[in-house]
Amino acid sequence: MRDEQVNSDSDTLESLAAFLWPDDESVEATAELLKASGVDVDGTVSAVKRQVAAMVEHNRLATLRAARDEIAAAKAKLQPIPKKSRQEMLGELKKQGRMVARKMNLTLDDLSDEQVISAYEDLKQAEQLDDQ
Amino acid sequence: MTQTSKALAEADWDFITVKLLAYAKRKVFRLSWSNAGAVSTKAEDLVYEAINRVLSGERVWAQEKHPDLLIFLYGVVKSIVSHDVKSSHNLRTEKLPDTLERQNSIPKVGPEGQDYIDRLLSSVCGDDDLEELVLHIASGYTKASDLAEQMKMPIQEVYRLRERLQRKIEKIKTGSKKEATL
Repeated sequence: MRDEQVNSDSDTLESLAAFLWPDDESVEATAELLKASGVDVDGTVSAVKRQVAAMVEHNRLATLRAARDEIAAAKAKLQPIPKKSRQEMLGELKKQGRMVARKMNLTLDDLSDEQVISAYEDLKQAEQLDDQ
Repeated sequence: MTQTSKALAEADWDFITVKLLAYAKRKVFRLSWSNAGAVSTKAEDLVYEAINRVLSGERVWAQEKHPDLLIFLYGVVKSIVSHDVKSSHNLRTEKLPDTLERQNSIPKVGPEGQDYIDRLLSSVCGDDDLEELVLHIASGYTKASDLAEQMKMPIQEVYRLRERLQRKIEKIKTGSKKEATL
């Protein structure tokens, strides 16, 4: 007898809750019902969206950090680039078809020694990174 | 960004938050009047906590197993509430031996819940429409369309009655808080 009473009251509260805040109404209607009960719907939606934005930003930064670490680790494994003469370096750059000087409106032969060394080291590092 | 993170970032949070608030409100309403009397948490806090647990990875959303994020979040809210209720119940019974009562820690409606229903019935007494509405709800009708059919009135009238019933409930709740502080 006591159990029947307990279950009956329990069911009544369930039914009341289901009637007051139903799950089959539109979002707009549900939001209005919640607001009428004193629930801060707009504040909660804003807070949740801020949480999600923070998660997205956190993940974006984590991805960038991981990529940066990966590049740093790969660079740490690079072998020293052997010294060569300007002609040898230009020869290899030409062989690789690298148009290093194009954006400066120069031909490879017009590059300074420093520019040739830099372009050559870039080429060799890129080859090593590709191999890794 | 993982596939789960991407799905979380692209989810319809307006829809999910409102639906989850309604679910949390039903839970809080039901449990705040149960014998446990343990749930003082607001629906907003429950929703925020549940979503935070999923976003932070504390609760892992396995999409293959639970494709519907909202349903998964219902489960998270439910588990937070159950944990709170059990903790509170255990606190109150920790000095008791392992009785059947202690093992059955999921609360049922006790004197406070019955008192609430009594007060609700008293508050609608004399208002024929609200009285009839509450009786139909107590019989298990919860959908506005079904209640409109039962009460032979337009559904808009049921919506109006729902607003009035909400106001009555708010009054009872406010009254209870005042009594509790006396």
